Amino acid sequence: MATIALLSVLAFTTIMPIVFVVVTSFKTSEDYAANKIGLPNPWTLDNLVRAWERAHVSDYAMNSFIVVSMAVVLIVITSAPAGYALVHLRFPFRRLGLVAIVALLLIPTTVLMVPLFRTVQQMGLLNSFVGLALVYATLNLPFSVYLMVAYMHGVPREILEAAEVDGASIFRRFLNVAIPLTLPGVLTVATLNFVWLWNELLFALLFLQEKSMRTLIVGVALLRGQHTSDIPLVAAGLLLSMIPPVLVFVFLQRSLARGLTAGAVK
Amino acid sequence: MTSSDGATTRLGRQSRETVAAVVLLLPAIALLVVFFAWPALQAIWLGFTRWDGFGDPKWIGIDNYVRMLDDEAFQTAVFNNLKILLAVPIWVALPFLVASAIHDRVGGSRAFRLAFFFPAILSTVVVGVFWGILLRDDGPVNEALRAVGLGGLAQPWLAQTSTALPVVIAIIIWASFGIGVVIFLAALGTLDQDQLDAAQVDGAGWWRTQWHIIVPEVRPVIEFYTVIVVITVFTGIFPIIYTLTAGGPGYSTLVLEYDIYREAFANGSLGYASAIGVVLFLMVTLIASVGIRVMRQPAGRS
Repeated sequence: MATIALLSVLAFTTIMPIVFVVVTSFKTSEDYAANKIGLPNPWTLDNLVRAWERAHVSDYAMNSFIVVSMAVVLIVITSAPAGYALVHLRFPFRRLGLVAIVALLLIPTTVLMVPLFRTVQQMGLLNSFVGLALVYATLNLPFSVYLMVAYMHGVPREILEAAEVDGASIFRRFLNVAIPLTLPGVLTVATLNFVWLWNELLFALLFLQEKSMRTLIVGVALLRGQHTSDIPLVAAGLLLSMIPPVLVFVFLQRSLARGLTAGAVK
Repeated sequence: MTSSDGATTRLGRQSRETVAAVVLLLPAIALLVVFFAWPALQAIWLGFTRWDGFGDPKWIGIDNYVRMLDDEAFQTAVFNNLKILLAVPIWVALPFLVASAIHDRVGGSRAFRLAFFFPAILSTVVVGVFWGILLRDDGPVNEALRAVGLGGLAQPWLAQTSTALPVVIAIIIWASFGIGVVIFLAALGTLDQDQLDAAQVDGAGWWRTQWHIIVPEVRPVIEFYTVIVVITVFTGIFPIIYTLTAGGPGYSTLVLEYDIYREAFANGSLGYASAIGVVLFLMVTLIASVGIRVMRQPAGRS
């Protein structure tokens, strides 16, 4: 009983702040000034409309969507073949490749902030969606390849050999046998990366400095709750920016769980 | 004839697979070399230069590292990172105990799991911005304290040196412990329930059961999570600092990650920032490897 009480208190602290954001985004500024904790009186959609239009949430969301989609596509089309090769093909330095992936996993990406800035600048890719997408794809690649290796281990060797006997080339075996069998895994890689990258701040801040090119999370971060006066507008911006990752998690929860366990078993 | 035939087809097969592997790996390798490995090497070189971000970096030897010796901001950042490191035991124990409690016997465990995991879905930016609002001087937390007669406790949480860092640490733990709960629940699900029940029958209390039976069983998972948390301490809290305090008041919440960003992109000292990055990397590597060794030791003895 005491345990349930403690857990409930903890659950209260995790849920309340989010309820606060949702409720506040429906309040008028005057209402919020007088009534910070209670329910809105009156309810208003004004903040959401203003955030969407005047605070550029719609534009920034579009920017985020463009960059993150490009990065996720890049990650999938590079990590899936890499995972397949590392597991199902025999070639020199295969072990070294696996070790290198793990080694890269351990390098904190913040350390790369200055040299990456230089690289991207030298390539003329500052303030370009492509530049940020390339950086995003690369920074998350070690983890994604690592996951794909785990999923590819789940593809039975016998099936691949049967396909080979039937005359399927290596690339056919990869595309027509391995990929369909690891689809939950591919989907997991795509989902996790989508959510992480949608929420990424540091590199978006560095590489897209043009105001019109900001990602949504950068736009939100610049609101900085400590120094703004129009709190309901900020709350509305927060609420809108939470929607895509939450939706992705809700819709893909089941396939996500399946993908993760498939990877864990092997 | 047949044997040499077999040899050539085997050789042919081997080289075909090698060619295919190169083709399949090339896109990933190209990205990793250009945007990861090469910049990582450049970080070391840039640490020995003075660079304002526009012209060419100028070699200045170890000057950047000498400069750290009397850079108050840098040193405060190192100490702040170490202070946050002191919170790691709570950071690991809290989700573990919550997972154990949920696993045991609690009704509504699904609801709890969802509630605890929810903050982990949110961007740390979102977390930082709304806690910033909640903890303002005139914000709802202080308002609520006053409303229940605890007005004496109301204070400018993030604007005074005494509370800023502890509050930031609490928020970071808040935002991430749901992930720990999910990881530990998965580990507890693999335990032998009969053994646990036997311990209960033998009269071992809840805490004793946790410590003597469950902790040793899930030790690898605890170690794994601890390593993740330690790495987060050094490389995962930039968004929280950026949105909550910008390192202030003074340098009281400045951490190395933020100091790198500040030196590079606010002060225009990209060479110096790169050197701090090298120090950060060495600290993470050192602490993670020492930590792993320390955690492994008692297991070896018992």
